[in-house]
Amino acid sequence: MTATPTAPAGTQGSTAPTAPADGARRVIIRTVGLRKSYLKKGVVTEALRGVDMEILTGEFIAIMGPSGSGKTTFFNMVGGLDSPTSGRVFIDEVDVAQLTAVELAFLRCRKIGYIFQQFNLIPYMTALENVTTPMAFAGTDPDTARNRGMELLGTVGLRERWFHRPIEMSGGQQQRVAIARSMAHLPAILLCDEPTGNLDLKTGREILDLLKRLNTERGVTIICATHDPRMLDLCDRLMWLRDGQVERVARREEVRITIGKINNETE
Amino acid sequence: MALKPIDVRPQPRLGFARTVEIVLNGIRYRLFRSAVTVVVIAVAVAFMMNVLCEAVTYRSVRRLATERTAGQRLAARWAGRLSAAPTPEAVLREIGGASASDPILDECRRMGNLADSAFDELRRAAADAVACLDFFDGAGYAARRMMVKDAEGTVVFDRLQSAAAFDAFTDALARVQSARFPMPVPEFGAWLASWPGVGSLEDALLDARGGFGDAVRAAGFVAFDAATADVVARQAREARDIRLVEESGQVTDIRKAVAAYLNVLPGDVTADRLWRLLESPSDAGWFLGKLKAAAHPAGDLGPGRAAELARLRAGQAAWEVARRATADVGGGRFGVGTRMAWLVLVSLGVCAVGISNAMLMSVTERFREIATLKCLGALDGSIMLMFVLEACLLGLAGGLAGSLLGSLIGFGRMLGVFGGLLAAGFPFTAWLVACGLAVLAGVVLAALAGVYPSYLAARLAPMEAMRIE
Ligand SMILES: Nc1ncnc2c1ncn2[C@@H]1O[C@H](COP(=O)(O)OP(=O)(O)O)[C@@H](O)[C@H]1O
Ligand SMILES: [Mg+2]
Repeated sequence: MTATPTAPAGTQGSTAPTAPADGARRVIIRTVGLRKSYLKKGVVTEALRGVDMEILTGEFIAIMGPSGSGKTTFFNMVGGLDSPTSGRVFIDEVDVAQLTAVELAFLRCRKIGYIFQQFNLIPYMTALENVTTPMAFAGTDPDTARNRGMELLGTVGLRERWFHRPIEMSGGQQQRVAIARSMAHLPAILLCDEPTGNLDLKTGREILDLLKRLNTERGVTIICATHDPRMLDLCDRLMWLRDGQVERVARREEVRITIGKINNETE
Repeated sequence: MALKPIDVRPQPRLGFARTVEIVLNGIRYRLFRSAVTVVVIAVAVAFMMNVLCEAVTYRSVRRLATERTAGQRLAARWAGRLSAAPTPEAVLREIGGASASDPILDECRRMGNLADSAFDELRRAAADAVACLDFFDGAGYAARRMMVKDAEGTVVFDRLQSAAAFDAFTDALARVQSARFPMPVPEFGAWLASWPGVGSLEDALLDARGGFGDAVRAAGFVAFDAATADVVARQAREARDIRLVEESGQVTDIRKAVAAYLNVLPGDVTADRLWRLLESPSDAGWFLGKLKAAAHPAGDLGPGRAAELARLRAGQAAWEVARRATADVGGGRFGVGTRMAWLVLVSLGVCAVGISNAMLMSVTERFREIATLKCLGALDGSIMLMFVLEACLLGLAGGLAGSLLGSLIGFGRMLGVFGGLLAAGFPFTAWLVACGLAVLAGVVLAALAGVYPSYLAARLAPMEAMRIE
């Protein structure tokens, strides 16, 4: 089955964007009946049970929910890092499941940026090498990659630390290297899995500001799984997951009013 | 700001130079871990190399020892001919008993100045004569007297030329039922008719240059090429002199004197003891003096020659020992004996298990890294190339170190077994081949052991790979 580039809002029922006013924006990510179950030692865990969601270009979406609610699983599915048990993920109306391994590599390399909860830096590479690795895979020539890598490290404030290996850097610094790496090709979509989860307040703030800047200045679509209540100030929309299902989707303005309730739900 | 739609194209392949760079980088970062892997591979390869070194040494020493001892035996035979007094019977036996390839035949034909056909006839006649002589020798005294009176050796054939004697012989033969004459009697009669010719040929041979032994000596072993002839002549002389010395121990007076000198029982005076006497200059002086006093021909050898002979004999004994030590080595799958071939196969198995264990461990602990590389856009092929390259490099380093270590241990042990013979029989080419094989085994096994888990991990979705523990 091939992806059909028709996705009229409304067919997805309750998960249709709550802000249809944004006429200029396209749907960049659409999930249809997304399910994922893990089989471990004979026990089936249903991490996602039918998630239908549409995300528009240039949106900053926060995915909230208690731990174990399926945020990371959703992140992996949307990023093409794992295959769903059933359901589909369309990126710019292309069904991810239909892509060949080589095309998927291209997508991961240049069109999606990933920021992992555990950073996932390559331990034996310096900060600069970590940042330039996606460029190497993309076939960028080493000098250009190097210049661009230094520039990106400058953006995250680590230009002077380019020769450090991950173990020689603090968690916040590693996360910033990971952000610089995710920006190597100015991806259209930036997926973040609890980017501030392992960081102190101040560093977390800096990282969030950085993400917001990328969103507003460069129009990158940001999907960010988080526990961090500060995300409320930055995002356009919020999506709550609970037990692998979408509990609620709301625009920030609507949430602002009932902030007390949110804090209850997200702890 | 409007982003362009996402276009998806095939990802290019990672350049080889960049792959190598990443691999070297990784090895340098995990230097200790890589070193441990290399050491494990080296030990595994060293074990195999050790066995291979022993195998090739055994094979080479065996070949050489067989060659040398065969040469020694040939020389000893010639020495026997040189020193034995030639009798017509001895000549007949040499010619009649020699195999077709025996150089003695060529010698005789040259000495007798015979055409090929005449010589073949002589050979056949000699074989018949030897068979008949054996019959008469084995017939027992009474039967023999009845058949040929008191004739001995080839004189029997001369005697049977007379009709009366032949009739007496046939009569007697009919009565001696237990004995089987080697040919039918009428044929023997015909053969006897041709005997004077054979006899005269034989005489010609004997008289050609004044006795068979002298004739052989004078012929200068022309059946061999010049270089070999010299060597055989020299070895024959050495064998004769060595036998001379060893025979002196059989002379009662000399034996007793040596026993007294060494303070041992006369029964314990072995050839080895005599040679040990000749190895030390002062003992040799005494021994040679004793031989001269007893008028034994070995007394004329002189101290220099005696010491040289002692050395020679030690060398020959070593080759003989080596030949016996390697006797069970021949044949088998690789010409190294069944046992050795089995050991080689087992060591290959041990090597394979060791290397794959080391590689499997170092790859499986890096599934997370593989997954991350995939998230960053690495192709499955690029990831596998990285791991195969790394495995090859580690395998190469381990293989080189291992074959060096294994060679040192293996040849060290072989030096202990064969001593100086190893220098003469060092299997240089086979060793190089074994080294090549060992390094190749290291590289190939490491690559195989590295490629499999990395293939498993690389073809999975990144997050699935990350979940493997
Ligand atoms: N590899 C796995 N095997 C089995 N169960 C898993 C695995 N990964 C996640 N899960 C389960 O799936 C559910 C969702 O997990 P996850 O997406 O990591 O939640 P979150 O990121 O929101 O904390 C959890 O109940 C978790 O136990
Ligand atoms: Mg999570």
